[in-house]
Amino acid sequence: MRILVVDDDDVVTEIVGDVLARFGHHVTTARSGREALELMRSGTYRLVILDWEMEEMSGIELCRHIRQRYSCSYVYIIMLTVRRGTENIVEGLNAGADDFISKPFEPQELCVRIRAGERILALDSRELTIFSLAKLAESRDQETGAHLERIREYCRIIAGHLSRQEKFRAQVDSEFVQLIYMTSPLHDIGKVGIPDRILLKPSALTWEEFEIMKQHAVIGSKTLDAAVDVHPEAKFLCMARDIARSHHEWFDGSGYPDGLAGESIPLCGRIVGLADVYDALTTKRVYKKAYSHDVARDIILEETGTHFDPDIVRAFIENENLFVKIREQFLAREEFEALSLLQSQAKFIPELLTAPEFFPERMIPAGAMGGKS
Amino acid sequence: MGQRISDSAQKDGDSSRDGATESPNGDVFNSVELLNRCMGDRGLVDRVLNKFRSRFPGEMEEITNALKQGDADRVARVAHRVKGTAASVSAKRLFQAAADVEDASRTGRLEDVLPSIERLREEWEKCLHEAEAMSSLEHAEQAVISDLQRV
Repeated sequence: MRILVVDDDDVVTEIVGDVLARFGHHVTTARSGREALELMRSGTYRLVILDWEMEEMSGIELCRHIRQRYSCSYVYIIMLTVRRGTENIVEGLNAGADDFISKPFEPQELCVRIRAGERILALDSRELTIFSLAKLAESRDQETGAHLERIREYCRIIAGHLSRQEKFRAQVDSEFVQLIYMTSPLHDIGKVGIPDRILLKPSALTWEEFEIMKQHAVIGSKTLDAAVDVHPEAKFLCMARDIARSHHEWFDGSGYPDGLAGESIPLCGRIVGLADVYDALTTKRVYKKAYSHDVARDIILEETGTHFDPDIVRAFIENENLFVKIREQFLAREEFEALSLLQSQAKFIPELLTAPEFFPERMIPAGAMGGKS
Repeated sequence: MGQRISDSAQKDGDSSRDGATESPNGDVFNSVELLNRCMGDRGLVDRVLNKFRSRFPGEMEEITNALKQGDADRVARVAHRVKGTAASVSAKRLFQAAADVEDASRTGRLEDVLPSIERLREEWEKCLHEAEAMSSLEHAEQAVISDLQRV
């Protein structure tokens, strides 16, 4: 973790810097609030330890500046001070500090409190990153909205099933299930780098176009890998990266982009791979109609051991009723939302009320047809 | 405010005395506590004490100048800084002396501050002497270790 220590006492910065380095942190020191704010412009520091009493700008003022300037990503602030008492703690917390450590500090206590800060930061960066990336992906392809939601439900079912199997118990725990639910919507994030003429093409892709399309796995994983470099402690980013890169790998090694085979394909990628294909088969796309669950199941069974991991297929088959239920739930929701949209538009465009192909007469609210019925 | 800081300073003094380890250097430094804070690294202790020794004369000069100018607030701020440093190197009597200067100067009556500044200076002299002794001892130990390694 990169930590900025702000104190005009070089004795303190010497000890704190050395101790934190021993616990594996990268420490930068600043002797004043002004110097600290200048260093923070780089966006590198998300955890700041600061003294209360400093010349020119006090720790309290520095806290307020940080809170005013850095609202996009959270900066965790620990005050290291000889001040004590409820009044001081309240004043510090009001200014935006997250925690207090008394001078003289104890190394173990300091590190435990930093770990608490890291946990808060991990939550913050996880939610922000997933939300912003998923929204970005959604904006490129109108069809993918519910796809992302279905995918994560399918993944949760498979991962939940595996967590109860002896073979996967050590690898798949409740955290894994939660992480795959959270990160699977990012599997196609790399498609933001694919041109519209290919991504939205209604017919089959040419060989050249498919080669470009395949790049989305690499683009997505590289993007997420850059985030992993900054937040190596964030497990969700690691899983999101692995999923983005490996969800098109085939169990027999004939997939892309790396041609991985068997268990060398990350488990999360093998799970998302099946969920993604099932959803693609059972929903309408610009280039194909929707297949029934039975047809999709037969295709998946046929590709067991070639495309799909037999263990994942087994989890799918043993939970196929849940897959069908989820698909139906989302289908009903989409139909309801489409109908609601048309109804709201019809209030402004009366001609729509006479277009039965878009608006079946039986579903028009009573009285809405007026004199035209 | 002054009273509250004084109370907390007293508590700090008490907490230092409550430490499980007995300081080999009497009341001037709790070297065991300092060594623990420095994760057992005697080299770090040495570097920290060097910084501590080199900084204090400047702090004393600043307090003296502020006193001459009748700037009680500045005296309090510098004393507070010395207090923080003293806490970090486990110099508990220096810490208490600095806390007394800070408290006295917060009242605004600088004539009351003079005795506590004198005590601060005395405690500093003791710290300087003890820090040099600790450093010499450290170097002597290192020399012995080095000699033994050559045997």
